[in-house]
Order: sequence, then structure tokens, then C-alpha cells
Amino acid sequence: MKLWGRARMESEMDAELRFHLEAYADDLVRGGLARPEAMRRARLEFGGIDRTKEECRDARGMNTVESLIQDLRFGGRMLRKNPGFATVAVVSLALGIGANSTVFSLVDRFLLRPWPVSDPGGLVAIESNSPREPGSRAQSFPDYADIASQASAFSGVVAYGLRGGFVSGEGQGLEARVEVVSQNYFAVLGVNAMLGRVFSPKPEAADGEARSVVISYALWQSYFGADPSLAGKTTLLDGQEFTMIGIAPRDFCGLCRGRSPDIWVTTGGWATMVPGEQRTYAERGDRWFRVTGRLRPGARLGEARAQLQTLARRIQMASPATNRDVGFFAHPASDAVREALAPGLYMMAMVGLVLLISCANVANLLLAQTERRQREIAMRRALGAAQWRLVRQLLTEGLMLSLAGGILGLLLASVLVRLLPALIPDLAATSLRLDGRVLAFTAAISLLTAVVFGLAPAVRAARCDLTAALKGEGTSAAHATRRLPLRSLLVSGEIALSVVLLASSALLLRSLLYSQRIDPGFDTKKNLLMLSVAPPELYGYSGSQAAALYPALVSRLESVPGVVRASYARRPPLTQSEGGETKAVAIPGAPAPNESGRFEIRYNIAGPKFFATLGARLLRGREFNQFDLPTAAPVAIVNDAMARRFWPDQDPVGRSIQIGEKDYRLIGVVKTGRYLDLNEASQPYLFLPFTQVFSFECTLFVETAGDPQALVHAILKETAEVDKRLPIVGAVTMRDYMRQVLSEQRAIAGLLAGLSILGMLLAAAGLYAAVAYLVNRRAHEIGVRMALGARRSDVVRLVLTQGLRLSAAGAAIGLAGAFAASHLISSFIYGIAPTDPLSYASSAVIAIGVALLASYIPARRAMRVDPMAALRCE
Amino acid sequence: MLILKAVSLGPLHGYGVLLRIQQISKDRLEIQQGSLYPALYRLEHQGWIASDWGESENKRKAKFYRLTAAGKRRLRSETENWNQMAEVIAGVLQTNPEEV
Repeated sequence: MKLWGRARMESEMDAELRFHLEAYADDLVRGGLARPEAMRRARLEFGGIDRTKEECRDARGMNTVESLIQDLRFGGRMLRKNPGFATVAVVSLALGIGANSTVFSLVDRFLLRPWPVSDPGGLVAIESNSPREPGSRAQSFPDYADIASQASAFSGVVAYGLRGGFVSGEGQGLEARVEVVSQNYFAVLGVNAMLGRVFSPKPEAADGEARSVVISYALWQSYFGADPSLAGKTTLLDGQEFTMIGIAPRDFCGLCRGRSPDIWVTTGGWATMVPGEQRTYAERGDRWFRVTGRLRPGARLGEARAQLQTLARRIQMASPATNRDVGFFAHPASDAVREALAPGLYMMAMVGLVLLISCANVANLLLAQTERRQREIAMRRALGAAQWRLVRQLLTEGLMLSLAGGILGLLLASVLVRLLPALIPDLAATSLRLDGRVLAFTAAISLLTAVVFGLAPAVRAARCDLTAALKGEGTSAAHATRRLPLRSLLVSGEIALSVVLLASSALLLRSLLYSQRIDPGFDTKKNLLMLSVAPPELYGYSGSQAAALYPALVSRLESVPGVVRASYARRPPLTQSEGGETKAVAIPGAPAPNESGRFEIRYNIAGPKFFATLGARLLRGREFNQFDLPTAAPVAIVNDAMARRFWPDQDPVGRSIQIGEKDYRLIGVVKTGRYLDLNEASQPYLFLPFTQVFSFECTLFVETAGDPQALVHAILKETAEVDKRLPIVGAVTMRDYMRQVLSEQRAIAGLLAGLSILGMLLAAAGLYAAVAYLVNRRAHEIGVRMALGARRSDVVRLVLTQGLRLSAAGAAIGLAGAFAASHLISSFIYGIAPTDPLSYASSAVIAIGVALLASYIPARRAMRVDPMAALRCE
Repeated sequence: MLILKAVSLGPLHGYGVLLRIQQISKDRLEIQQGSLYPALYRLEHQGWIASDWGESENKRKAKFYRLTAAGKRRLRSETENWNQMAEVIAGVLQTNPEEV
């Protein structure tokens, strides 16, 4: 079939039919009729010429491609004729589709992508439950070793645990996430190096590779400048030389989603790197490894579970001190993925709502459009266009709109994807890409939207009443009201959807405000700088030298102009690192919680002036000072929650508690704060003096008079005076730190607030269009009313009431929907109930307010209807 | 089939086909004028007839249809089918009650 032959074919068909008519007319003339009469008879007997032509076109079988082109041309013409309509529809769709593509690229990147390991389906997470640390599912290395050697259902079992380290190979040092892995880690997962090689699974290779690390793609890019010859070179990790044997593939970010390691080191390497660490992974009671096994081909999960159960019981018998009641549990590794999917699905559902609103919007516009085009459509039907052909024509127009929307949406998404990492700090390290999958997703939703918004108007148009439309009844008021239900439904639906969005984001915003108002027990608004000190033992310090180092650093820092005071502590507040370690504390007078008679209480180690520096309020007693020396009596400070629990209505200052074999005298009570997580419940907490209880981990806190950021350089110069080699890194102001702490909540709330504003705007635009259209249709009626004496305020009220009715119905449905969906959101909100009435009420009020505003503009226009002009219109 | 038969007797234009069918059926069959052309186009699309522009009896340009080789085969098989069918139906209709 030749497309270019179309015009020729048409003219040939014309000529042929004309010939037929004339030949027949000639015969009739010969039969005695006058020529005009003969022509008339010929035409009459022939029947509908255009219809015959259309059937001929069909018969030629040239319709599929050709009529598609015809439809496209025609559609293009129609859209060009109505640029306003086309722009609004395309922009509305682009916003909806763009938001969806962006969120999809996020969700896809983090959650939907299967692990870049071979056969992820065969992987099984093996977890422990330890009654001593409820909630922690980590394993100890000796337990892992037993599982690996004795559970025969697995062809390989790997262990991995996240730790911190300092990389200082190239200039400025860097705090890196180090994943300590079993020797067989990469081999069992089936991950090969992108450059160089990974750890060999052979046990005899372990000693040779104790000084080897594998670098992540992200670190290779950001820190080592993507050096293609990096494999085989050395770098300093915690001050010691390691050979970088390989670079992991780009997609491989470890097995813990969202926490991608920068460096992998074997347990052997970790043990030689941190002298004290030999102990932490050799001890059965120290659980900080995650364990994943690969099922042997043919082995069933049930078999593996039975073996793990037997093994756990055997270890319980052999090591009751550490493994009493500790069980091992196995479940498919994909379960964890499904758990992590929840927030992603939630976001997808929310953007889905936005897209639905845009669809409803465009459907509404199209309906208005087809109503305006009713005469044209009726004319085409009367001229012989087949019904399905018309439906197809209208669907084609819808498709053009949605494709244009899709392309524009994709452009929007490509901008958003570049902006997102700046808005969400967690994303900064990862690169979002609009790849084939996102493109496919966008294309799919564009097509889907075309069907969703295009079908109803198309079917309605095709079914339209020919005679009525041709007689021009299409413009009468009666007609407009009859047509109303579907359109009202769409507008109310839009309002309802945006109320669901608004209510959800109101809940999240309230929860965020609540979190920001939470008193973490210290002053978050202080001009404070926090710096991490690399473990000094790695740089040749002995314990006593290091103990002298911190006070020396502090006194140095306090000499910097602009510094008010400085202190130090083992770890900053609100970090979950190492699960918040506990001490076993015996409290005289308190009933023993278990056989050991000791309470597990979380603690931190603080230097002198720590509470003053952080702005934590001391309720009673004093804080640590430089006289709390190892030679003096051991002292401790408790928080208010601990004081209330163990010494209700009494002053704990002066009493003692027992840790290990030593008695600690309580010297102060500090206000209860949050220690691991802003949203945690208040818990007993203990502070021990750094001057008596030493730690190689240390964070410096520097309070400044002005902006702490301005002093970073001077402070780092001063610390370099103390020891040039010792890396002091991760300088962060308290404000930035708190922003990071809140970032996840802030990100979700921000995204959702953005979405709900977008949804509300779209819905408002939809309502505006609908009411404006109605006013247009009713201009005649309004004119009559005004001619009959209706005042302008009556007209405004008439129009506003209509808008109000639509939006109130929508808001009511939306509230019910939001209420039904509130359990979905409950895991993301803190401090307020998922049924918080204020959030619901405010979102309904906002929705109705915006709706009224949207109908006010057309109402004002209605007010200005000139009765004479409206009446003359008929 | 009727159109194929009409065209098999020599190339004809559309109006001619109409007249020819009326003529050979001795005016017993009348074809709706409007439905003739879609039928012609369909047959042409299926490749059973082909068309050329020629001059009509009264010196006007007209499109003439003629049977193709495929059309001839088709006509033959259709004719056979029809005759068979007609025989069977005739046989059925001639059956007497005693014969059952």
C-alpha cells in the first residue's frame, strides 16, 4: 500500500463514481427523462455517495495506517484550533506524569531493582533473636562460623557487618563506611569486580588478603577520581596501608538497602587493623554481623530451618553464658525487600493520586471539548463516519495529548531527578538515572492515561443524539444540566483525591513539626561544631597518651578566638552507631531484673563541661570536671528518667551504683534527652567521665560565639598543631547535624507536601474550568434571570453554590478515603495519631477554600453577563 | 461471484458490470448501486480483478475491470462449490416422504 497514492486514489474514486452517475443518467435521458431530473434520480438511486466512498476505502484495506495518519492530522488540526485547551491538558498531564516518573525512578533505584548478585532468589537471611537485645537480629562471628560449617542445607554462608573507618590515602581524610565481611562474601554472592578482583573464597588466601580491600564504585568515583589503574594501588585505612585489589560493580551496594558500604575488608583484615577488634568479633556474645546463606540446589527452606534450630540448641547447651535462649531464624532474603518497599509503595500511591487528578482534569476538559464539538461530530456521523471510527478519532486525539504530556513530563522528571539529591541528603551519594525502565514506565502510564481520560468522552461523543445536536440544542441550558453528572463526578473526584493527598501531607507535616519540637535534651540552636577524631591508637598512641590527648585538644581549641568552650564525648547524641551500647548496672535497693541482678543501661562517656557545651540542663548536683581522675573515686551522672525509676521521690546524688566490680558515686542528674533516635521513648541513661573511663572513640564539641562554619579552618589548623598526622574529620555544625537527623522525615513530608500542592492546584484548575464552562453554558439562563430582576449577588451566589456543592461532596469523600488510608501512613508519623482531627479538618477547609476561589473568578464573570447580549444570542 | 462472472466475459467498467448482471440475469437480479463499488474495491484488493483506465463507448474516461488469473481460479472453484451446493439442496428438496 502506498501512502502517497492516497490523493490519486481519492480522485480516481471520484471520477469513477461520477462516471457511473453520468452513465446511468445518460441511460435515463435516453429513456426519456430530462437531464437534471435524470441526474437527480441517478443520485437518489445510488444512495449516499460519501458513505459508499468510505466503504470503498475500507474495502481497499488501506485503513489501518492511512486512517491513523488521517486521524493524527485531523487531531493536530483540532488541537491547534484550541491552543488553550491543548496547553492546559498537556501541562496538566506533564505534571502528573513527570511526578510519577521521578518517584518511579527513585523507587526503582532503591527498591525494585533485584540485588545485583547471581540468583538472589536462593539467598536466605539468617537472623538471631537474643532476649538480651530485643529488636536486634544480628549474629556473632563464632555463631556465624558454626552455621557456615554445620548447616549443610546451605552451599555457602556469608557474614557482613558495617563499621566506620578513616580513609586518608589522598590528601584530605574521609570517614568511610567499612563493611567487614567473611572471606567468601563476594564468591557466595556471585559478585565480580568491575576492575581488578574480589576476595578469593579459598581459606588459605585469607592471610594473604588480610591487607586487601575492595573499593565501592561510589568511593572510586568520588575519592579516587575514577582512576582506571587504581586496582593494585595502596591507600591508608585507619592509618594503615591496604592494597585496593578491586572495585565493586556500580550497582552493587552491599546487601543492606539504603546503607551502602564504601570499603569491604575481610574479618582477618579487620582484626589486624584494629588491635582491640580481634576480641569484638571472636566473642560469641558480640553480635554485630548480619548473616546470609545461599541454599544448596535442591535444598528446601524448611530443611535449613530445622538444621538451624538443632544447631541453635546445641550452641545454647555448649555456651549458656552467651547463647541462653538465642535462636536462629531463616527467611527468604526477599522478605526484607518487601518490608523496605512500604514507603516506596506509599509514595507511588501518592503520585498515582496526582496522576489520577490530572486524568480527571483532562477528561473533564475533553468532555467540555466534545460537547462544544457536538455539532461537528454529529455532522460527521451524518455524513457517514462509522461510530467506531469516531471513537478512534477521539482516542487518537487523547493519545496525542498524553504523548505530548509524557514527553514534557519526562523533561520535567529529568530536571527533578537532578534536583532531588540536593533536597534529600541521603540521596546525594547515589546517582539517579532516567534509564530504559523509567522510559518504559513513562510510556506505559502515558498510554494508560490516554485510555483513562479519553475513553469516556469518546464513547459519549459517538453515542450523541444526532438530530438534537444538529438542530442546535447543544447549547441550551437544559442540555447542559442533563450532561452534568459525569462531569460533576469528575470534579468532585478530583477534590476528593486532593483531600486525601492534603490530609496525608498534613499528618506528615504535623509529625515533622512535632519531631522538631521534641526536646532532645540539649540545645539544638547553639553555635556548635562537632568533629570526629580518628582512633588515636591507630597512630601509635598508647592508652595513657591518648587520655592526655583529648584534654590537650580541648585546651588548644579554647584558645582559638571565637571559641566559647569545648568538650568531648565518646559519641555524639542521636547516633544509632553500634546499637547504643549498654553497661550492666547493679543498683542497691532495686529489685533484680534477672538472675545476674543487673540492669542493661545505655551510656555515653563525657568529658568535663560536656553538658554546658551542649546546653543540656543539669537538674541536680554537678557535672564532670578535670578533677575526676582515675585516682579519685569513680563517679557517674544519671538522667532524670533513671533517677525517677530507681529513686522515686529521692535525691540520687550521693548514692552509688555498681558497674563491673566498681562502685560509682552519683554526682548529678541531667534532664532526660533522646539518645539514639528523636522518636524514641524516654529511657534511663548513664554518663561516665572520660577522665576515668577511657575510650579510643571520641567526638569533639566546640561552642563558638558566631557562625561555627567560619571557624572550621582555624580549628583544624589548631588541632594539626597538636598532631599533624591524626585525622580530624567530619566537621559538622549542630544545625546541619539536626537537619540530617530529621532529613528522612523531612524528605518524605516535603515530597508529599509538594505533591499535595500540585494535586490541589490541578484540582483547582479542573474545578475552575468546569465552573467556567458551566457559566458559559448558562450565560443565556443567567441573562434571563438578570433580565427578570436577579441581582448580581444572586448570580454570584448561584455560581458559588454550584462550586461549593461539588467541592463539599468531594471533600467528604476525600476525608473518608484519607481516613481509610491512614493506617498506611501510621508507620511514618510520630507524636500524633493517624486520625489527628486537626490535619483532616484543615485539609478539608483548604480544599473547599481553594475550590471556592476557583469558582469565584467565573462567578465574577457571570455577574458581568450583559442580559441583552445573552438574550440576543439565541 | 456474480461480479467475477460478469467481468470474465470481458473487461467492463462499474456501470457496465451493473448492466451486465442485470442483462445476464434477465433483470431478475437487481444490485444496489451504492454497494457495487465497495464490492469491486474489495475484489480488487484481494487480487481477483484488476483495473485499467480506458475509454468508454461514449468516449469518456472510465475504469475497466478485468479478471486476473487468480480471479479465474477463484471463479472456477466458486462455481464448482455453488453447483455442488445447488445439487445437494436440489436433492434434498426432491426427496419424497416414502424415501426416508
